[in-house]
Amino acid sequence: MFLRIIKIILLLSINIGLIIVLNTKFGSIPPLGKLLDPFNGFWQNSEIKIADKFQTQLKGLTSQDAKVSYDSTLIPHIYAENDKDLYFLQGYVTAQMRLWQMEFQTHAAAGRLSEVIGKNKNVLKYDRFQRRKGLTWAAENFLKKSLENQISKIQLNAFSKGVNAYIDKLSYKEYPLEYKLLDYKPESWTPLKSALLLKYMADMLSIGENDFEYTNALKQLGRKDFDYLFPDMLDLQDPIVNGTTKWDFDSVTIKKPEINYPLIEDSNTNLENASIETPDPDNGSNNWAIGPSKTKSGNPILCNDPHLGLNLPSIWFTIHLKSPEVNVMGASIPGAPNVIVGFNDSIAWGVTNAKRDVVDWYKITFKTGEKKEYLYDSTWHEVREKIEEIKVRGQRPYYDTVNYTHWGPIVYDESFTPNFDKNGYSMRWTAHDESEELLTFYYLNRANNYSDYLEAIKYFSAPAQNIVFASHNGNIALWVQGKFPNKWEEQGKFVMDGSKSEYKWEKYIPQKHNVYTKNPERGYVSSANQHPVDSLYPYYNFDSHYEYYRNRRINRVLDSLDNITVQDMMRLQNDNFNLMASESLPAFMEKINPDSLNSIQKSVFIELKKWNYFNDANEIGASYFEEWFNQVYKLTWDEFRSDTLSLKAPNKTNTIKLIIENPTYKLFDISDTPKKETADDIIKIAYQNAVEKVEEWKKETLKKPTWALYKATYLQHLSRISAFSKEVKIGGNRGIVNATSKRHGASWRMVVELTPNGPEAWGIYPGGQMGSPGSKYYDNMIENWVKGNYIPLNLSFNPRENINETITTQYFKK
Amino acid sequence: MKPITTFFILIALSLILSYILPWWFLFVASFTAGLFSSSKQLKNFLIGFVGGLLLWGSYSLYIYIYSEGKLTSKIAQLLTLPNPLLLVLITSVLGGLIAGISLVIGNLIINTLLAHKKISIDNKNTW
Repeated sequence: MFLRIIKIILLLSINIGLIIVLNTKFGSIPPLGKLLDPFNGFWQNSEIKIADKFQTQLKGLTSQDAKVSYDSTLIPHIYAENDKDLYFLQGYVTAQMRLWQMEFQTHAAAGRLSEVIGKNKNVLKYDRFQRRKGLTWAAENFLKKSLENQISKIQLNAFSKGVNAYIDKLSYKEYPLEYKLLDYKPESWTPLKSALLLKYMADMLSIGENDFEYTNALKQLGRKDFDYLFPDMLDLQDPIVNGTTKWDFDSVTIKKPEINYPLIEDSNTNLENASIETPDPDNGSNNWAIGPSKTKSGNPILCNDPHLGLNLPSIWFTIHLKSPEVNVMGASIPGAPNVIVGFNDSIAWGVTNAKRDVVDWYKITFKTGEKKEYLYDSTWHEVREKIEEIKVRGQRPYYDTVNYTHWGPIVYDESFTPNFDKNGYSMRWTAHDESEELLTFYYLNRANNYSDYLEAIKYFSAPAQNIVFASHNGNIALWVQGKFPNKWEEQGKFVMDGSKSEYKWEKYIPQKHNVYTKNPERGYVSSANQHPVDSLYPYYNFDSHYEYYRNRRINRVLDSLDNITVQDMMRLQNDNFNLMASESLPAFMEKINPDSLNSIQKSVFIELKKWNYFNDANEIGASYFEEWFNQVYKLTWDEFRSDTLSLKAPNKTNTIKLIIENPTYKLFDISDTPKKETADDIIKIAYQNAVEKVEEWKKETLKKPTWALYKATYLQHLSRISAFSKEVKIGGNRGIVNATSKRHGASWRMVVELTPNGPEAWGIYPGGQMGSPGSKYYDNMIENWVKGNYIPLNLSFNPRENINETITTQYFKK
Repeated sequence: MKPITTFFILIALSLILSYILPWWFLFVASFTAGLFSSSKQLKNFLIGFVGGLLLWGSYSLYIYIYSEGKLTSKIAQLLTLPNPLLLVLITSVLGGLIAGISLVIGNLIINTLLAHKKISIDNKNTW
């Protein structure tokens, strides 16, 4: 009897054990039984017919009548009776199509990736950095202010409810694929998650600065060379507002206090390289609006293409929102209510990043080694301690203590960057402050004219944006909008002393004094992350990486055009002219003596001579030029490559200027060689290196080095799974209007003509509306994006009239 | 009970349970089918294996064909399989193994339980 029980137990254990094994994730191997079961596993994420997936009846609305129709690109057209239902459905529909991405990005913002991925050194460091930058704190501050406002509150709550209405219906079978592969579950959506997503964008767009790098460079180079290598603005620049606006207000500029700053002798602290991934300096964008005087039809045309990391699922989600109060269409961010870049019946708007320095670093003086008290104006203050619990999948949690001073979080200290200055550095960032950016989008979505636009943008603090505007009655405008500290000359350009109140941001530039231009004489407004304004503007507006090329190319093309059409603008958004090459290659070529070249080098030389400066996909000259330029840049600034010290090399524009104007400048010398090199030598050596490098590439890949193949633009799935990622053959590069580099580019292209009969609009992005890699709508727009084609965005879409274009309609009721 | 009856119990129960239970419905269905079987263990395994193979194989093949293999090929690439059809094969065989083993175990357990009674009946007869 006893033996029989043992036998039965044993047999049962084998069977149950087998279930457990096949139900468990081992390292990166997903749970195989669970995943491969065709009734519930990944097979269920295959798309057989899209309509089957979307047929639903749903409760949770306030009115009886709401529906969502999907057009042939699977853009949802949402029709609701009121705001609550509208944003409820926006949440529901976005979750239905992009749930995994929405949640993963908020996890990334909050520093919670270890919780999903498990033990991994780099992931943990990333999570710690997110916590230390205080992104959740920033999101909470945003939420605090936003929930005080009824409008924001309704939107955030309705959106969350909509997302949760979708999540609550899900069983494992319907989970998005990535949850099955990584073996975890979606959690409930909250307004905080929407807030985190906005801060995720702010982090991406406004956190790039070089305070440590500049402080180190100043110390190494001395003032004269520093200013020579890192000028605030070069003469060839064409700022967003260039002499066209009169600043007829009483400016409240602030004088530099009587202090010894920058403290060179004090910065003798070897600010070590923190070796943390900082936002890509290529995060930028183009936008412009053409007034009636320059267009063929006499209607204004507005264009925008934000450049961000090229990921799948795409960072944007196209949507049409319609209720009795609003009728708006454009690109939304999956996870936040409203349209972010778009148009309605009367107006259109778009954004580019306004890269002003809104992050400053304060060196903290602690009383003791325990670092509980810090000095501020001769008194000691206690730090506020925040213990961050980072959950690690399958492990015990990791605890990190982040100390806050009144400046903000101490991001860098001994525990995070052990080789860093022992004192620690506090971060002051505008995106940490209470704000209510959601209202800007809410009001822009409903704006009818210029004064509505002015009212809407007032609420926008961070990340500062150049917000372009056009209205159907012919007005065009562009405001550089954000909350900008009113700084004295060079304040925050270098690390500051956190123990003295003289260094604090005294005031902010009054919103009405922000840089803007309206209906300028030249007939258009434009921005591409360049300097905001000419030297007549009274406020200090420094940043370390304003752009020099895209804006000048755009302005040149727009100056040269009249009778502009929508097609002209599409062509310009896809323009591959390499202005930097046209300003540097002739000078480079002059230094090369063709007779001294071997046969391969000579054939490359001929190829470059033929090249027309367009980085088109099939150009070979572009590949050689780009490689040559990279080599020149690397060899020239070898002094700025350090394993221990945080440094940043001068920008490309100034590099070219120095090569042409001062070729014997001391830093052209390559430190590792006994010879004293000049710019001429650098260019020759770089040429040989570049040709060699491309030859090696040819041997490895057995391909012709056309620019598209050599650059190899890659759209990467957010979880970095290569099977869900895609390589595309496309021209362009950084500094080119079509700013598609290897991993960056136009994440959304939009062209809108505002006719008296309503807008005619086109858009495209590198991805597809569905987040699921099993859907044909996962990547269906990529090919057209590569080719420079657009899809029509139809604001008057009506499923009854556009039957042939309607894929399916979902009906919802109370 | 004939092997074919066991087989049909397995299939019918699987289809019903697949609506209620997660992926391990196949374990439960084949285990239960095993309780009713009176075949030898090798045969039991084969009944389960063929049942599981057909069930998981035909459904995955159906999805593979009607979705034009779009996701299947991506997952195959992810698992470094050279051909997406291999994924259908692996799924089928996994289904077969699960059902085969579970059916045998179910049958072994019922036999162990019944063995007691059987012996006592046998004893009576010899009396």
